[in-house]
Amino acid sequence: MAVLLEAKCLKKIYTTRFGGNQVQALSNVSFSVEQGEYVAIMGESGSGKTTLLNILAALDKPTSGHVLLNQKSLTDVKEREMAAFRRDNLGFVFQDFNLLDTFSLQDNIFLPLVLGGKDYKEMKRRLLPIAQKLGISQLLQKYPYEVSGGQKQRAAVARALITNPQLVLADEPTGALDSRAADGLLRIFHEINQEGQTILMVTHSTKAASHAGRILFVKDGEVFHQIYRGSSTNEQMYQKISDTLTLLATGGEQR
Amino acid sequence: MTKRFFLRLAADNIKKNKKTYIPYILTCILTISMYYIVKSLSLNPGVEKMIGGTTLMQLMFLGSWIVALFAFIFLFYTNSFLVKRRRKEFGVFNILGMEKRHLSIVLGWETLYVALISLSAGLIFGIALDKAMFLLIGKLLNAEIVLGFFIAPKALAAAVQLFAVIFVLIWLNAICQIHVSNPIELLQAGTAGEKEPKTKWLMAVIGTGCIAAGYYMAITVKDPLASILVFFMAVVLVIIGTYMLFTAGSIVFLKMLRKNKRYYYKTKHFTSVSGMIYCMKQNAVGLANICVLSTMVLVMVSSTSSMMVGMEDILVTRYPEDFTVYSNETELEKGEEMFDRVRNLQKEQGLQVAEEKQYTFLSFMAFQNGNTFQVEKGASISEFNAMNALFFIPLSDYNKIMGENKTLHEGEILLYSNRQQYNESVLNLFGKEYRVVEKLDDFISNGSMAANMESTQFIVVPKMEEMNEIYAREQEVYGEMTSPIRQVYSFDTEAEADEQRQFFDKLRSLIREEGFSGYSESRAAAETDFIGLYGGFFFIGIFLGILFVMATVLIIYYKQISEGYDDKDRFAIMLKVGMSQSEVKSSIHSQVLTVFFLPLLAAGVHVIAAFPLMSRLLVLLNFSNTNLYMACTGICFLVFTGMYVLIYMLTARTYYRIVSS
Repeated sequence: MAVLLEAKCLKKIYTTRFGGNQVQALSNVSFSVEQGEYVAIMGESGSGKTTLLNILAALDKPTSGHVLLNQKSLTDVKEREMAAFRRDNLGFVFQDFNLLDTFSLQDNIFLPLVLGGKDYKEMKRRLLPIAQKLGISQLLQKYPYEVSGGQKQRAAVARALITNPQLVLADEPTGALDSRAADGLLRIFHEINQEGQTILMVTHSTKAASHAGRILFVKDGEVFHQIYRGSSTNEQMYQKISDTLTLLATGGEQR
Repeated sequence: MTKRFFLRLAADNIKKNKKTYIPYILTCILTISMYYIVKSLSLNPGVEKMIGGTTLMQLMFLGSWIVALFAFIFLFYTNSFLVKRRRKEFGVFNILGMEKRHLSIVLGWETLYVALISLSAGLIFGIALDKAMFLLIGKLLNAEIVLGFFIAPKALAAAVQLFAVIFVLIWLNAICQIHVSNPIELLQAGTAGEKEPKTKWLMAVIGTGCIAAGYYMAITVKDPLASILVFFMAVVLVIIGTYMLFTAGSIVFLKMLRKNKRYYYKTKHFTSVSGMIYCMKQNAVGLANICVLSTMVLVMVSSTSSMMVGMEDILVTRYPEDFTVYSNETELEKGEEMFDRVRNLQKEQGLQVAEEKQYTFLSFMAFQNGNTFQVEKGASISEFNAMNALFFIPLSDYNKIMGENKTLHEGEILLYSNRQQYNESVLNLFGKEYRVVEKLDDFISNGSMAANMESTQFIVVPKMEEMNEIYAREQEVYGEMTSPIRQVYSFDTEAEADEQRQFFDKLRSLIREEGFSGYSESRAAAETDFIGLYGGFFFIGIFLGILFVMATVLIIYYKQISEGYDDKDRFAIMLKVGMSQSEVKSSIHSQVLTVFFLPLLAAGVHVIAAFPLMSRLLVLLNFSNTNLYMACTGICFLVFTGMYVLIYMLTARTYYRIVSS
C-alpha cells in the first residue's frame, strides 16, 4: 500500500514570548501512515500529542523536520493556499465538536464546501448518503443546542467527510461523549475505515484506541513504542494497550 | 487583608481591564468637563455682559440640569455593563476565598481611582475648553473679547458634588450586582447556548407600515401650522416603526436571504447572514436606540445651527424696518399725532432717519372655504388648515409705499399671499364678492403679520370706505374682540445698534407717558433677545449633540467588544474548519460594518424624510431659507458621519484584535 502521510524527524520548540524559557514539545518524531490505515496516537497529557496533531494538520509549523502528505511537503504550501489545502485534503473531528451555534447541522456540514465555492445542488448531493450513513438525516434542520452530544459529534464527522478528504484527523473524538455515544462513534469510525478512509486519531482512551489498526505511543516528545493489531480482537487490543501503558508509566521512567 | 493589598488589587484590575476601562474613563472625563463648561458659562460674568447674555445664561443653567441628568443615566448604564463583563473575574476571586465584602472594598477603591482620575482630568480639560467656548460664544454674539481665565469655583464645586454622588451610586449598584449572584453563576455567566430568534411577520409589517405612514405625513404636509401636530404624530410613528423594523424586520429580511439558497451558500454571505441573525437578536434594540438618538441629534443640531446662522434673515422678516410704531387709536388723527411726536423725538435725539413709511391697515382671522372666507368666533384644531389672516390696506397707501400707480374700481382687489397661496379669481367675504384683478408678487413687509403662524392674505381695497365697511361687518362678528383699523409708522436709521437701543427706550417711555394707545418695536432691541435665545439653543444643541454622539459611540463600542469575545470562538472554529485568515477578516469586517452603519443609514433616511416637515416648521419661526437649512443638515450629517467613521476604525481594530488573539 502507498504511504499517505509521512512525518520525518519532527521537532518543535516553544519559546515563551519574552525569550528565556524554551520548552521542547517534540524532540524527534518520525512515522508514516499508509493509505486506508486507522492509526491511534496515545500518550499522557504533556507528551506532545496535541502539538503533533497541530503540525500534521498544518495549523502549526515544526521547528525542524517535514510532514509529507501524498509526497507533498506541507511546509511548501503557501500561506495563502493553506486554508484551501486543509479544506480539500484534511477532515477534522474535535473533542468539543466545534459546531457553530449559529448554523443548523446541515449548514455546519456544508461549511467547508461553501468555503470551497461549491454550488448548492452539489452540496446536497454529497450530503444525503453521508447523513444516511451517520443516521442524522432527520436532524439536519436542527441546531447544535437542540441535539445530544453524540448527535453533534456525528454531524462533525459528516462535516469532516463531506469534502472527501485524504485523511481524517480526530482529536480526542470520544472525550466529551458518554460511553454509548462513544461506542456509536467508534463503530462509525470503523465503518468508514472499512470503506477505505484513512483515519488518524489522537486519544487518551484505551477503549477508543483499541479499535484502531495500529497504535503509536508518544512520550516526552518521541514515538516510544507501537502496537499492530495483526489478527487480534478489540478485547485483546485493549489488553495490549493497557499493558503498554502500565509499562510506560512505571518502567519508562529510567531514561 | 491589608489596605495596601486592596489598593494594589484595585489598580491592577483597572490595568488588566484597560480595554473596557479606558473608554469608560474617557467618557467620565468628557462628561465631567461638559458639565463644568455648561455650568460655568451659566455663572460667567463675562457672558452676562454680552448682548443677549442673560437669556443665554438662563438657557445654560437649564442645560446644566439636562447634562447632569444625562450624565447620570449614561455613566450608570456604562458601568453596569462593565460590571457585567467582569462577572467571571469576580467569580474567580470569590472562589479563591475573597468574600463579597472584600470584593465590595476592591470595587470601592476602583471607583475611587476612576473618580479621582476623571474628576481631575475632566475639570482641567473643562477649564481649558471653557475659555475656548467663551471665546466662541463671544465671537458668535459679536461681543468684545476679554482675555484671561475665568474659573468658577461654584461650578467646580457643583461638578465635584454631582459626580461624587454619581460615583457613589455606581459603586452601590455594582455591589448589588455582586451580591445577588453566587460564585458558580458568576463563573458561568454568558456560556448558555442561544436559540435562533423567531420570525415575527406581523411586527415587521406593522413596523414598515408605521414608518411609511410617518414618512408620508412628513413629506405631504403642506400647511406650516398643521405641521406641528403632524410632527408629533410622525415622530411617534417613526420611532415605533424603527424599533419594530430593527427587531422584527431585520430578522425577517435576513431569513429571507437565508431561504435564497443561491445567495446564501456563498462564502461571502454564508457566515455573515447567519451571524447577523444572532447579532440582531441581541442588539436590535440597542441599534434602534442608536438610530433614534442619532436622528434626534441630527435634527436638533441642524435646525438650531441653521437658525443661528440664519438669524439675520429671521430678524429681517420679523422686523422689516429698524423701528416700527403701531397705533391702536380709533381716531386716525390721534394716530397721526402720535407719529408726529415720534418724529419730534427723532429730531430731539438727533437720530438720522434714512427711510420711513406709514400706512393704515386692518387684519383679522377668517376660515377659507373654497373662494369664500368665513369669519366666526372660536376655532377648533381641525380647522387650523383653513385658518388665514386677512390683511386689508387701501390702494392709496399701497401705491404710495410701493411706488406704484395702480387703479381699482368698486368691488375689485389686488391680492398677495405670504405662505399658502390663494389662486381663485374671486373672493367672497361677508356675502360680498370681490374680483381679484391681480395677484401680486411683492408686498409691503409687515412684521406683525410675519409673527403670525398662519398664512396671511394681503388684500388691497380701492378706498378707505371699503375698509371701514369691512371693519363694521367684522365688529358684528367679533364684538369686543374686534381688532381695530390700525396705523403703522416704521422707519430705518443709520445709527449704531447701541444708539438705536437707547432711542428705543426713549420711544417706549414717550408712548407710555403721553398715554397713546399703541406700541413700538425695534429690531436692534429684539436682536438681543434673539441672539440670547438662538445662541443658547445652539449651544445646548451642540452640547447635547456631543453627549448623545458619545453615548451612541460608547454603546456600540462596548457591544462590539463583548461580541468580540463571543465571536472569538466562532472564528477559531472557522479557521480550523478551513477558512483562511483573510476570509475571517473580511467576514468580520462586513459584519461590524453592517452593525455600525445600519443605524446611521436609517438615521440618514429619517432625517431626509423629516426634512420637508422640519423646513415647514422652521417657517413658523420665520426661518424660510431652505437652502441654508439643507446645507446645515448636510454639514451636520457629514460631521456626524466623520466622528462615526473614526470610532468605527478604532472599534474594528480592537474587535479584530480580540477575535484573532
